[in-house]
Amino acid sequence: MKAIHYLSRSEIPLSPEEESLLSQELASAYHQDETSATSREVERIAEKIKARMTRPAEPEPPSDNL
Amino acid sequence: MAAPFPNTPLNLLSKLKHSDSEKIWEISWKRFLELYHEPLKVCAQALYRSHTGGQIPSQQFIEDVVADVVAGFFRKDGERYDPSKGRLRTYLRLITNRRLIDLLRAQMPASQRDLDPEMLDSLQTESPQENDAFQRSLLATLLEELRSSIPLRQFEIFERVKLKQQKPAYVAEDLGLERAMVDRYIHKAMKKLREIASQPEYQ
Repeated sequence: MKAIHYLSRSEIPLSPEEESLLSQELASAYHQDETSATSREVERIAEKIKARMTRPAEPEPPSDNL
Repeated sequence: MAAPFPNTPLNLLSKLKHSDSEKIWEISWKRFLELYHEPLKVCAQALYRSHTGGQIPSQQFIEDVVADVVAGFFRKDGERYDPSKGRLRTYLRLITNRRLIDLLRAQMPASQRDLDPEMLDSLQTESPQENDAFQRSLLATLLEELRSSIPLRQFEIFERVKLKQQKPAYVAEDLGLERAMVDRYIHKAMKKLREIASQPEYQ
């Protein structure tokens, strides 16, 4: 994945191959995001998150210091 | 070989995360989940295999890990990310590891639950699959920022040509525009996208 590198590189114009690769990676990221919005897996995880967000926090064990 | 990965952007996430509105909290964790569930899932799968000697996790287990990570990240009384301590991406990998170990530990008999404390903070090197997954989420976040940064019509044209891969001539005819206008809109949108990607938060 080189899209971020190509987008951040402002001095040297992209070659046709690099432009094509950038377009492909942007489209891939876009479609993954679009799919997530209606994904049943994401829906299931969202339900689990809702349940966790509303229950009382459990005390952190001593080893979990950040 | 992928280029060095920039820091995860904080603009979008920080703006949403620090609002006091309940509605914004509701929107932000859902949007975060849509954008980042894939790299969290890939990371959790890799860590599971690492900690279990190569076993394959169940889908439910991984979904529980991702849910724990996102809920912990967004709960008002949950742990907070401190940007001064490192990159958000590293932090997410760390808490994914900790939540995964918590769940693994819960599945073990009580006599086997004492694990090596070093397991909690030792992370294996990020795999190419994890890197690619985070890259895609970062690109999606950039597109999200672009959508809110340029006029709606300009984004629509950019979206149809660059993201949905429709032919510029078709889009021009469909919208009743000159082809040159469509090309100008795309050029402006790409220029804005590059500006956003060049911000310090994305480097």
